[in-house]
Amino acid sequence: MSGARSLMVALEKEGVELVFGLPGGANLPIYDELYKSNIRHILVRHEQSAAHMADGFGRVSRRPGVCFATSGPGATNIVTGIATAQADSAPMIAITGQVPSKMIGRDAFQESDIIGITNPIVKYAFQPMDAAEIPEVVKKAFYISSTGRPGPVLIDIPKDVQQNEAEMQFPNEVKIRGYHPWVDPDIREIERAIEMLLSSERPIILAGGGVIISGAFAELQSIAELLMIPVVTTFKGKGSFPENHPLSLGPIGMHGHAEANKMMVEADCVLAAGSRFSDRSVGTFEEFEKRLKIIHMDVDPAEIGKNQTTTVAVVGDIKASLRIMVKMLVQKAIKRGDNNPWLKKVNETKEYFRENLKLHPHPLGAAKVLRKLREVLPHQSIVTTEVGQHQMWASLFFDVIQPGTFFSSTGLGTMGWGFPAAIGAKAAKPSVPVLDIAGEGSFNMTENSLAVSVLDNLPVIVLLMNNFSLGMVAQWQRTFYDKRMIGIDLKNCPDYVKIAEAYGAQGIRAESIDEIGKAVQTALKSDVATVIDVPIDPQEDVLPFVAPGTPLKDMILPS
Amino acid sequence: MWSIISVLVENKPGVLFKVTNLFRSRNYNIDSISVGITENPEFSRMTITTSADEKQLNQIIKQLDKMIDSVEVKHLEEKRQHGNNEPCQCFQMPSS
Ligand SMILES: Cc1ncc(C[n+]2csc(CCOP(=O)(O)OP(=O)(O)O)c2C)c(N)n1
Ligand SMILES: [Mg+2]
Repeated sequence: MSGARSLMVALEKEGVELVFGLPGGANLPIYDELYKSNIRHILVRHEQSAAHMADGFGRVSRRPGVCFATSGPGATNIVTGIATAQADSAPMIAITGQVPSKMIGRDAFQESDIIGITNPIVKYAFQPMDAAEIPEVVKKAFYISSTGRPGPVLIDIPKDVQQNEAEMQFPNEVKIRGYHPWVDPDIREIERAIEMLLSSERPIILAGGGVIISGAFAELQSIAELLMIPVVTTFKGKGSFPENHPLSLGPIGMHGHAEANKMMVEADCVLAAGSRFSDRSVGTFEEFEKRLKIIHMDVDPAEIGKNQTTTVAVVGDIKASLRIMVKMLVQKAIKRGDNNPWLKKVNETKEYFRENLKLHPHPLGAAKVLRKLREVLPHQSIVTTEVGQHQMWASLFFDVIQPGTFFSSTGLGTMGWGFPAAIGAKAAKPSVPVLDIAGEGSFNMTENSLAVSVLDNLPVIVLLMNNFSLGMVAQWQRTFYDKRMIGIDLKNCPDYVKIAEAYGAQGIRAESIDEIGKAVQTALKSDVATVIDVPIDPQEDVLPFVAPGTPLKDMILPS
Repeated sequence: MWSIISVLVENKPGVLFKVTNLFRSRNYNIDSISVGITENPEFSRMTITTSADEKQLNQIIKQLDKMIDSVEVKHLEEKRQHGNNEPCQCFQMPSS
């Protein structure tokens, strides 16, 4: 069997039903076998989007999404996609063609050292030099990508290795001696965590992306309800806890909810589950840990103590750790009531900001747009975002009710991620509506995926919060650079309704809140992709705002 | 503070690159490094001296441990005075 054929067999054995990609000289043997296999190919118009689609597929299905690219420029085009997946711990397998092994190192046509280029941004990379290695490499790649803290794995296969024939053996199991993704959480540490939570006066739960990755929604909710502890999340953890729950305060951080930041600052003990304490979430590291006892749960031991000094550390899968905690609480019959000064304060603060936080007065203010969207979009729908103001408005004003339905490029902040990721999400879960909350600057970067959405029958909805500018950059120039505006004006070009129509999708311009509601309802019934172009006010800022390098307590509120 | 870290790694191409790249991308400094194959040809041993504070050192060790190609990471010794230019005398160069 040829190397390329064994690749397809190995992928099928891993349950792969579709791949996203674009062919070229160095992966033609792979494509020829793809032609003969049962795996569905989704042809992209730019490899970056193939990687983002695989990423979106992976986050939603919690199995690695697969993308293909050729050598050289094909491979370098997926670099942003790999880095995005790595920054957000998303499972993904990227398979690149490489020049023939004898040509490696000779600066051959379309040769690039993709292993070297991606080294700091992959979880692992393989370059099989013998066709017979391929089955085991694929098995290992899926094992590494999907276990422990998930991440992207690259397989770079020289063309001759794809073509060579070999005796193939497909292992059912692999062991890697330097890789131990399963760590059993230490029971005593969990006991200590419970004691600390019970003995603290102002406890809070900080739920991070790890809760979503491990699907620990029920466990998290049980703990919060048994101990009556309010829940804040990181931005990546948004929607790990229903945002309409009485104990929910929403995301903390640079553009966190005012009540979440305020209560985070006043807490004396935090149970951080699956969070890496990114600078965007905590503001300044020193200030954050000053008054706080930190219980840190994470699957990655290297996260413990990286950004914050912790009092109690529980290393292990978040779902497993939280489940043990729930069990202990139930066994010990620990259940706390809601009659305490801390919860009273939390509720008062929440109420205060919900009533008094000034919202942008424009008729298409972000809060109005996104609250309307929430009203009309079914709760089980999957929502992705692009990167910029619209993303932070989504964090502030779009409540995630069903846990695990909200995804964004939170770590790398990749403009252009949301739309292809939405297509990948739709491929993973065709039964639910998928919507990308987009800025036009970001959408412009990968909008050619409209072709994929239309031709491959993966209809998604794009809600374009069109401020005719790179709004987030504009906000920083208004705030920190004395209104010297440069490089932000997109001048209402192109016309996104026409762009949508040019690809055979549906374009709707919605110029009032009412029209937005109707447009979303039309889109939900449509079997092609729909772009809803909403002209918003270019002057609206995202507020509250914690300036970079400042502590959460110095949050700037709308005046 | 000098620290000596010993890392047992898979003996295959690219592993030294990964280790040094780990130091570079996380902004740690390597003061000296030596690599040699061990008695078991499947493994190489890297001996790295680095001047890092305790918190950094802790991270370096954890990040090295996390590397899939590392099999064992040991913190051998600390030397507290600077200027002692012989941080490496406490181990023998593995023969290759
Ligand atoms: C690939 C990439 N380039 C540049 C940036 C820097 N950046 C962050 S937000 C932003 C503006 C995004 O504009 P748009 O998508 O229209 O969103 P808006 O802020 O206007 O809502 C830019 C340029 C980025 N995050 N990603
Ligand atoms: Mg914009």
